[in-house]
Amino acid sequence: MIRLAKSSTQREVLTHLSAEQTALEIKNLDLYYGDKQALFDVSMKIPKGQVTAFIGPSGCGKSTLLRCINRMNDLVDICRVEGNIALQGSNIYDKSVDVAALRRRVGMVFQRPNPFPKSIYENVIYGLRLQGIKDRRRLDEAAENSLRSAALWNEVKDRLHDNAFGLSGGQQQRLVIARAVAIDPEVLLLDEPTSALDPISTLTIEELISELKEKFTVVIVTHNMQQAARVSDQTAFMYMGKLIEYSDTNTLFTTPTQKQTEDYITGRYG
Amino acid sequence: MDRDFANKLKANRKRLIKDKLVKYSITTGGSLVLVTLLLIFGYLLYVVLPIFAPVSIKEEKEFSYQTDSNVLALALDEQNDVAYKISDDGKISFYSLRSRDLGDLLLEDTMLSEHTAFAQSVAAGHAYLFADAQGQVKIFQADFITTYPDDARLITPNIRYPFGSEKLTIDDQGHAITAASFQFSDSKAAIAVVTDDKRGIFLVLNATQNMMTDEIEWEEQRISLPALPNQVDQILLSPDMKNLFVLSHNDLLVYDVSDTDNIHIKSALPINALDADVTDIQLLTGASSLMVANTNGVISQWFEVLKDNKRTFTFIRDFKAEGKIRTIIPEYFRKVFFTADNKGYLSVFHSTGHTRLLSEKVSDNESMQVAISPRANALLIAENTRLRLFSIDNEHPDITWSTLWQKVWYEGYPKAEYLWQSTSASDSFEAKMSLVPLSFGTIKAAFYAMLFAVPIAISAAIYTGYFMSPSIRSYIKPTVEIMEALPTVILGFLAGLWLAPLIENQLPGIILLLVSLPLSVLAAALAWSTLPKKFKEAIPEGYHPLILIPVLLLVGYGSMSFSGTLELWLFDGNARMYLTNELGINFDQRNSLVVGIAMGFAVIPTIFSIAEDAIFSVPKSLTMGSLALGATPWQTLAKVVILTASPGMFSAIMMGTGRAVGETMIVLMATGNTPIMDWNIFEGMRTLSANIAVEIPESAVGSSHYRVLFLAAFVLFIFTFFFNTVAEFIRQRLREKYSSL
Repeated sequence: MIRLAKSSTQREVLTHLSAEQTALEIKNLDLYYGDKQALFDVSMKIPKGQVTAFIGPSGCGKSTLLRCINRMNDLVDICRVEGNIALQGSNIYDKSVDVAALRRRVGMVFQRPNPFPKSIYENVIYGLRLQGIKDRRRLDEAAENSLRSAALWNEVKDRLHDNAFGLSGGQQQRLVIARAVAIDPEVLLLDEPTSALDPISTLTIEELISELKEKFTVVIVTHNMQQAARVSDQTAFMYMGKLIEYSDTNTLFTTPTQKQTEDYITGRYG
Repeated sequence: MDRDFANKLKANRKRLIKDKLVKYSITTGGSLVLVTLLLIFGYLLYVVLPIFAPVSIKEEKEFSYQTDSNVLALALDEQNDVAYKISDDGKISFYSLRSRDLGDLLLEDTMLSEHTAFAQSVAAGHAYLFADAQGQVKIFQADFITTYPDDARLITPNIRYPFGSEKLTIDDQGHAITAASFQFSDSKAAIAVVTDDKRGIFLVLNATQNMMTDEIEWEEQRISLPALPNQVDQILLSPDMKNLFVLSHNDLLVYDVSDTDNIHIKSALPINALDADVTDIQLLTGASSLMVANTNGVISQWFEVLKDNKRTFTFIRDFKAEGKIRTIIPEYFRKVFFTADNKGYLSVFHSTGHTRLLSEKVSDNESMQVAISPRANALLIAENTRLRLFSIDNEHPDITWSTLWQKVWYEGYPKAEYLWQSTSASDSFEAKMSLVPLSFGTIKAAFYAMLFAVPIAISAAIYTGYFMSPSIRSYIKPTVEIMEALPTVILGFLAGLWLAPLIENQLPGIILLLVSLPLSVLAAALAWSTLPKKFKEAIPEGYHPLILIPVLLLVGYGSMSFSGTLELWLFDGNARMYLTNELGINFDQRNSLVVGIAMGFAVIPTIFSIAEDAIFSVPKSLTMGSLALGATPWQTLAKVVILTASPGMFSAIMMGTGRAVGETMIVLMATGNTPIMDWNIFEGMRTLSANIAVEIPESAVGSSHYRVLFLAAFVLFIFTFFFNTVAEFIRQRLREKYSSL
């Protein structure tokens, strides 16, 4: 069944998810940078405990959408958001929401590894220190657990107090993931986490993502379709600020319902 | 094809030449900067180093003369052309020291062949006295007449008799004189003698001009010295004719002879060194210091010190020569003295600097006589029947490491102190050149400026670089940077002529302002956060600081207008008097507070600009990373931004300090330039840079003063060099630690 995207956008996707299975529900989200609209009426449900990938050509709004989930877009002065996103049923754009508290529940990993100019250990427990946790044992434990979850423990356990800049790019990125994991968020947002890495590191991170979904709901933005196919359970294809198609990964890559999706995954543009 | 290839090569060659050209011109430029720096450094050293050059003496000429008498006194003229000696046969003989007639006897005359005592006035006077067994004295003066026949200098010796060629009667009773001392000026003369029947007589001659003939007549007044000890070894009258020193074995009696109606002993004290006897006493130039020579080679310096409201003779310091000292020979104009001892050693000392400049064996003769030329560039030694002329190279005896950097006990001061006082109207003045008060002033000025500037500049940089919206930032940053272009002479001018009187008159208001401004900012912020949301949203994001402007203006105006009331209420109507009288805090109009504010203004743009750059260039990915981990903006600032920007912020502060240390015009115009050492914020200071600016125009090229000013410049150079090196070192360390990506 092929329909023209312009005439009808797929507005509600994966509607069958119950409230308990849903980690995030995005409803009629519009986003403007000044006068320019960047997201158009996006609605979707992101299931709990799975990996959801956003794909699409550059500038399609996939990263912008991701940043809406932990309100990083608030940092852009001219950015304005309409509609709402519900995290465990409560709207994160509600006036009463404490943004810092929200970000503790929704962790994020960026495109380029961005460790702080501190030791590996201090990087990992940064979020815990912010929360005022001082108990040495608890911090040590959290650091070890997080580094283990990020599959970095064995590589750095002997040099926890060395500067984080001494690590390779892939290790740094895993460190950043460990840092995000340490504060035990509900959702983990990964914004093109492997775009700055070599193939081997990419592979390690991809394996890591599959492990992470055991504990967290993972949302990943990637421009690499193979990666999306490899790591995600659901894939959303976005184009020009609109959510074109959203279904489970297998379906999307094998039998896309939209022409634009098919064009994109067959490499006709993007 | 080949041609194409050749063309390509040609193009390549052009590029190569351009490449090389650029490379060499940049290298040349860079090296030139380094060379210039080295030249400045080298020139400073070239001017400064002679200060520390050691003293040297070199024998120039010698000749023999016929005599069988001993030399009593020896002296030279100012040009070192003529020397004369006075010998115990009562003769004065002038010899030529010129190369063309070296050793020629130019003039010889017998003054008094039968004499019982000999005395000499202050060295510069060239005046001498012979006393006889009949209680009479003859005073004569060596004189040099300079003429220029055939355009060449000719110095002709001459003998003058300031009190007439006839003998003056001192003792009416006609007893023999055993010791004498005298001094005279244009209007007064004083002669002190001791007779063989143990009487001391003090004769004062006052000059009066005869109204009719314009001739000078001397009016005599004869007083006998009370309580004179039985044994008198030496008497010495100070050139100001106010003190008479009597040496009786190892005891010194000081007579106050300034008032002829009340001559009395003001102090009597033993002055010999431990386990030694006194051999000679001499007054240094300036006549404040008494040098006492001892048999064991120790020379001790004594002068009057104000203690418990009384001037008492106090031991100051001592020096050590090789053998038993026979005579002390002071220089004419400086606090340098020479000693000759029985081992034939000549030693040169600087009294104030407490230094032995030289000690050299010049003779085997135990009883050599030594004379210094008036300009202290030549030395004459008489031994047996020989006269030897030495040249002395001793340009800067007064400047040593210890006089520059340690406490020095200057004549007339109650204790050793750090003092800078380079010039004075008085002739006998000794320049006091300690760099400590100046360095202290420099540090003090920089400290108060930084105290004012650092909090403001750093907070402004943090706000601008981290919180401010980019659109306002693009106005604020260039505006503050333009402040840096403001000539400091204008800042200094405003500080000295506008701010200083303002602070003086409105002191409570200014203090109140310094406290109330930051508090009112905090209060305003607090009030703002409690305002209803609707009202808050009326002001666009990033423009919030604008609402502070009316608040600050209002608080400023309020503080200043409240000043008078506050002064009346707390400080009895005059804060300045209150500070001085009640709290004992001195208040200068041009003080450190003024300098702190004015120079603070000058360094704020420097610190702000660099620190802001450092904060602004903290990668956004780091702040994002921190925020994404649930940090508040404030936590992100404290834990990530400031940490990452710390190398840059540190260099900003050090650059500001470097600028404050080297700043000249503001401190020159707003400090009062008093070289005092006191951290009191209400007193001024004198900085190295301002001192150079003030004094270099009035210092003689090549003088000690001139060279010390260059040394001050060198010290300033080292200061900034030190600050910059430390800053760079720490910055590199920080950067290694906190640099990001």
